[in-house]
Amino acid sequence: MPYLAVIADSFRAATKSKVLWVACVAIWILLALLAPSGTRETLTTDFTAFDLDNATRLKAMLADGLVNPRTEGSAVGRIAAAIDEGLKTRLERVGRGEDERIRYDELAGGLTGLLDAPEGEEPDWYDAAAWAGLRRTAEQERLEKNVDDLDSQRRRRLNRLRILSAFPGVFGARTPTSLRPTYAGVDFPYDLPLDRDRFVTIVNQLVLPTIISWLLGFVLIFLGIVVTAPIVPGMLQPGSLHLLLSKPISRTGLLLSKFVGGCAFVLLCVTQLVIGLYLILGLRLDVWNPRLLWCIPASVFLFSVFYAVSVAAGLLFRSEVLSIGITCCFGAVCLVTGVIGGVFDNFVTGRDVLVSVVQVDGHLVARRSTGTIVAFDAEAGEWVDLIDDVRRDDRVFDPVVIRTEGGSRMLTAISRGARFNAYGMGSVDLLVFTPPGDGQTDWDVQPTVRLPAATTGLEVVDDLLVAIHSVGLSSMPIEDAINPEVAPERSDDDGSADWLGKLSRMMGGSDDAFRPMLPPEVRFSPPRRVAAGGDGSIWIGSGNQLSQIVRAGDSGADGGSQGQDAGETRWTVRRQSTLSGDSAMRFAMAVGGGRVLHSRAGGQTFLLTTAGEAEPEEIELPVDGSVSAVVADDRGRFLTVFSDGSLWRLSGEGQWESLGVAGASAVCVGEDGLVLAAVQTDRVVSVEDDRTVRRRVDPSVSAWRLADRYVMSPLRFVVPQTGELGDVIASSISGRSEVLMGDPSSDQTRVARYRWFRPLVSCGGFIAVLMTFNVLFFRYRDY
Amino acid sequence: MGGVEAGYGWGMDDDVVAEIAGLTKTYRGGVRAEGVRALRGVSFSAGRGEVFGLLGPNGAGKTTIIKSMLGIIRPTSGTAKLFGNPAGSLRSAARVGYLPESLRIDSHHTARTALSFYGRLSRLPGEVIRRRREELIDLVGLKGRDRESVRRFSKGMYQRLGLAQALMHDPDLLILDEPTDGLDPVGRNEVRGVIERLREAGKTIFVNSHILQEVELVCDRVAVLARGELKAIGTIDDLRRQWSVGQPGRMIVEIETVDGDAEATVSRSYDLADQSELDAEVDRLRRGGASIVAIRPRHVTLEQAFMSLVGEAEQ
Repeated sequence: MPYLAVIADSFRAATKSKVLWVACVAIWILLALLAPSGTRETLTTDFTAFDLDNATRLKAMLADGLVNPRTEGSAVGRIAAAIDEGLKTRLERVGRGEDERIRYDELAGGLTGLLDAPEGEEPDWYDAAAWAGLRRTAEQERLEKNVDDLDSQRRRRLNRLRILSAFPGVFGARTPTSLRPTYAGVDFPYDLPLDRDRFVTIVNQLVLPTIISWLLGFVLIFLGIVVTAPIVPGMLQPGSLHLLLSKPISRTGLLLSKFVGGCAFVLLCVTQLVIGLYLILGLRLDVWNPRLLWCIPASVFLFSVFYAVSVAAGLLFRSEVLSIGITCCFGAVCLVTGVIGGVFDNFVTGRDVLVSVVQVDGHLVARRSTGTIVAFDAEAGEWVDLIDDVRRDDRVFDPVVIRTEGGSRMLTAISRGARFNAYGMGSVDLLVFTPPGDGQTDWDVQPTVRLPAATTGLEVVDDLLVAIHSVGLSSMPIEDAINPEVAPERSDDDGSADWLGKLSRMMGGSDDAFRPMLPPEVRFSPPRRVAAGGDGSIWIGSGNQLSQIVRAGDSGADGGSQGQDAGETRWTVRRQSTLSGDSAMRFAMAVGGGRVLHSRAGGQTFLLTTAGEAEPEEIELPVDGSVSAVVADDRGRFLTVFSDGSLWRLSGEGQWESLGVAGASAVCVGEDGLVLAAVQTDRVVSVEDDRTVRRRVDPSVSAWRLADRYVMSPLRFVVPQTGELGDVIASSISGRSEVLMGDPSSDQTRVARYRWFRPLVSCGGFIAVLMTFNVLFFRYRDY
Repeated sequence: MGGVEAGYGWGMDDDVVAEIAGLTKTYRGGVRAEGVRALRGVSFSAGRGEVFGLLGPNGAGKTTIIKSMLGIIRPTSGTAKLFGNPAGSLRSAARVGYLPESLRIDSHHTARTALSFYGRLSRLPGEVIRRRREELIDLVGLKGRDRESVRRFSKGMYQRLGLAQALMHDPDLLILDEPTDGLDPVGRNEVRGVIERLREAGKTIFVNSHILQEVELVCDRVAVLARGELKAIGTIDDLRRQWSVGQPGRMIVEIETVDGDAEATVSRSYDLADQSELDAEVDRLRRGGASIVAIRPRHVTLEQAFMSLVGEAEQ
């Protein structure tokens, strides 16, 4: 009871603090400003630059629709003809082969201008016959049926869907509804390109943690330090301390009670802020998230790190000014350590992380997170660059291994300037790497065929090399692709001499050598994945559609794949399934042992048996997190790397077993059938069938890496990582262990794991050690 | 170890409330400075119902003794026990009330909340806290001001509140450090009345005061400290008598005489070893023609005795 009295007294003191009332007023003003915020769900109609997945293709298609007589009367031709005159003139210049830069938002704005039509009438550009052969969504068909009864918003929605169907391979995934922010009942001029679920996720994972972290980390913590700094020096004044120590209470209990009570200020402020935000989010945005209340203990925990320092300074120097100064200096040290640690993470270890690994003729080849392709030189004991000319905006394809009579080769390609435009600029050549022979060290690299424009990845299906690009899939025989003598001659001037050819390439039309293979009924908008079925088939995941396509034999008949010419191998759909859940969420996919594993970011995972017609079965993952990489081994078991760095194997019986590997970032099946996993930045281990883990590659590291290992890591262990407690707050609010950094449908989007273990341990350990010191000091010192 | 070792042979252990034995305290100095010897083997004891005064100049070690009795500091050697328990233990602290010299009560308190707070620290049940709070507010004369913030309190009101908090848990031993500091004559009289009532209730009271008249009025026994040593201990009369008879084995007397035909009397003080020296001095005066009017042992105030004792130590 006496200790509770001390704690209660601290609360009473806090409530009498003028600073608390000033802070409270500030919090109430903030909450009052936030309270009128709201959202209104609207149909997604207007086009924005963010809708464009391949803007280059849109620009080319519109230009083609204006200048190519063959497109006259087609959907594209009609839309292009109806577009705003200014934009049309510039598109015509593009069509004539002139350089004309058109911004994405200008293209999107041009299309938005086509959405309105006179009351009760169809827009000028629409003609049912022109749209007859185009693929429609279920929503579009539903709206078309009731076209006469549609209000203006639904008409705009229908017109948007018509435009979308006219430009396949151009637009990214977008939810049917959007949110219109409102403030005090007044609409904002723009919609948020989110549906309510995504909005709730963003609010919980980004907005709230940011508000809480900033307000807490930089305002309330500082105020708390200022307000609580006099507590210990004041207690140590003789007239106060001697009286307290004369009472039947222990010194340990007294100091700990003062410590707990000192957190009262922050507790009172944060409780108001969090409960206020909780109510505003619930009442105004319909986001009721009780997890938000976890912010209260998390915030007090963060403050107690600083308060432990303040108490130590108060005990040592008995001065509130020194307490404030020392605690602020400590905060600066934490901040600087955190920032330097972040720099090391991003620019030292982060750049060396292997994100994919393959084995080629016994040589290990990997792609680093920076895109650099490296091979391990066993003699030198280090990774050596195969492709090092990778700039920030470039995108390097994951290496693919092919085994031919002439030996194994590794295939990859670089798309230049692909950071903001996923498909980069210019053309992409296939790069064929031949491993060094006996006694040699250098790899031979040979550029061969030109890949189709907007190619984003490669896949090998039997004897075919499949290029995955924004419009679909194209393939050519591997033997032809890797043999520069057999491969079709490349044109180094990028085909610019032929403006129609250039337009075709901008639209994603493939090099002559590559033949389109995607049947029209297969959806191919992001998010998408392609995997070889092992039986000559190809599995394609796109949104919530999962399709298996197979070769139907030589055919020149109607109904073949879109764009396929007579005499080509025709690919048809053997099987198609629809998955439940968020269709716009990126996913990992692998095929093996007669099963398909499809796992979305966030953890929703399906298993589909390739034989028969059974529907995909949703399965549980063994860890809380997303699958970051998955491959199937020779026995059809799925080797799965999770976002927490653990490596698991899903057996044929559906049992998950841990392979005892931590810090994994990539996995592959080696040439000897062993599992090879990239772990702990750039090491590689092998895992035998009995789960014995052996180290295969332990490369020598740079001086910076050594500094990170032996200086920064211990320092970050000793100095509490208060900055990372923001992750703990975000994780608490969202109830998730990770966050998608960017567009959830993009393959480039990084899954960031919340770091909650290290900050909790480092901060908790720091508080425990420092408070032990404080208690011992207070207990054995004469006053 | 120097100074005086003193104590009463209390008949029963239960009657010994405070027992200080060979208490030595040396405060550590800085890196180069020597330590400060605040107490040098002080021993004494105090019994139930006794009002015990601690006297001494600044730096004599009075506060160090009080801190040792409260367990606020740890003695370098020797022991301090209250009610047979080590000083500073929860058992002994539960029976001690303490009024510090420069009392500081957090400014967010009123008299009522402060008394409740210190009552809780003394582990009193809520009901007892409420009852004692009302009684004590009445006792120390804070009625009507008990809901005001202590920020508005005068020094005297503060002191009354301090006395009330010390009495909250009805302690058996009360340690008062300058209890009448800041009080007006009426307030001082009231405090003396409180002390008197507590003594009658069998409480033991330690009073540390610079105001010798206060000590003289309320204390049964006093201990005089100087330079960390106990210079004297006893009742007020003991101390006076001790000083009036001079050093041990000597006596100071005042002899009033009339010389010859002179009408006026003359008084002189004599520092004598014993009765035979007095007889010899009387004989000498008589031989000189003086008539002896009166022979009186010299009376001294406590202050004179104190200054004498402390002065010797300072020299």
